[in-house]
Amino acid sequence: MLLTRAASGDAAAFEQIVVRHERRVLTLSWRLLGAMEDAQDAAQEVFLRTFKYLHRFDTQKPFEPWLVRMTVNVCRDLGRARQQRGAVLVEGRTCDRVELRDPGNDPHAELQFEQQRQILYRALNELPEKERTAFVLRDIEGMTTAETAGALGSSEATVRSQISSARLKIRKYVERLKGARQ
Amino acid sequence: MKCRAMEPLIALYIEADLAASDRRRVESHLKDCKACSCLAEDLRESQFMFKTLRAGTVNSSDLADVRERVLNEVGDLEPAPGWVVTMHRLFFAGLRRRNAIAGVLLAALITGSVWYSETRAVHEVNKESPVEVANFEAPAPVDLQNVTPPSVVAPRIVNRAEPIAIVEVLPAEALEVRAIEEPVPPEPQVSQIPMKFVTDDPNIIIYWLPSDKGD
Repeated sequence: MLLTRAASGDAAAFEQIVVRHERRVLTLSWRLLGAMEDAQDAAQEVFLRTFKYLHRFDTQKPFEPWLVRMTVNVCRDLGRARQQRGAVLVEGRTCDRVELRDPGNDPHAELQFEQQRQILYRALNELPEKERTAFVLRDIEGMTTAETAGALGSSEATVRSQISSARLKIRKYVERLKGARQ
Repeated sequence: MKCRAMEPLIALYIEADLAASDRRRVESHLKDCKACSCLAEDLRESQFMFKTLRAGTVNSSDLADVRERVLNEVGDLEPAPGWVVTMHRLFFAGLRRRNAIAGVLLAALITGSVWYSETRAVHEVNKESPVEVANFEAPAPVDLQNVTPPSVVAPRIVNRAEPIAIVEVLPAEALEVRAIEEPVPPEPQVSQIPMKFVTDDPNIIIYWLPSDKGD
């Protein structure tokens, strides 16, 4: 009902859709792109495309997979444009703007947690684009393999191959970083 | 199986992404291979670390910023016209756009191949029975202005030379009658006589050009 109203140009209905899904879209964009400024641009583009193409959406199907798929496509486009520009992700910049839900009261533990996060994001940035996207959706977003395949428009076998390769590469990268720090 | 070939399966095993048969293979291998067991432990640890990233979420001010930008932009955009929405639902309801386009292309392909095979069959039939035009002789043009209409249907005129028996008058002492061989009659010559039939209607005149055989 809300989608039908938004598709016919109801701005209030569309605002409700934005409020309902903005956190999911921005978080996913940020995890895929690694930088909050890029993620905000991506989220804005996702919602504008949603408004533009909402009439194409089959309202009998779930909305969120459609939105996730669009987010993945927009982030892919932005990521490629960023690569062409030769832009480099600035380490730590993203983490400053992210709230931690479980920081704990121990400052030492919090610092260690923050270091771990930086290692993980560096490792993530080392992955090829497709493996990174599959890994983020499956292992960080917590989607199933079938859902990930649906969002990427590929087969489950391809997704399994991509996440297997990504897990092995990340494990090697994390081991290397740990060894270098010790 | 070598450990190197098992690594991709182990990477899937730690998150239960394997089918039952592969899972049993990996489990039996891990029982015997210490190096692969260590790899599985390392992978579990890095996966656990990554799952902590799920706890991180974006800042509320960033969300508000995005919302404001989106709603400002949307205010300037025109929504899709009602007829576009209606037509789209009519044609693509229940179908994904890509599937619908693929269906149309498939139908066009089938129609094209059927049409091509039909056309080709007609060509082959024509090749097998060509029209024989070699024996056809067009009748000589006749100047119809100078044709005089016959009052009755003219009978076929045949110029036939009658066989002649020549008898020589010889002297008495040589009373002998010699028969001369009958000359070979010439081939009958058929002349073509066009016929004109006048009907009750003065605008309709029928001309008949009989063939050599008279038909």
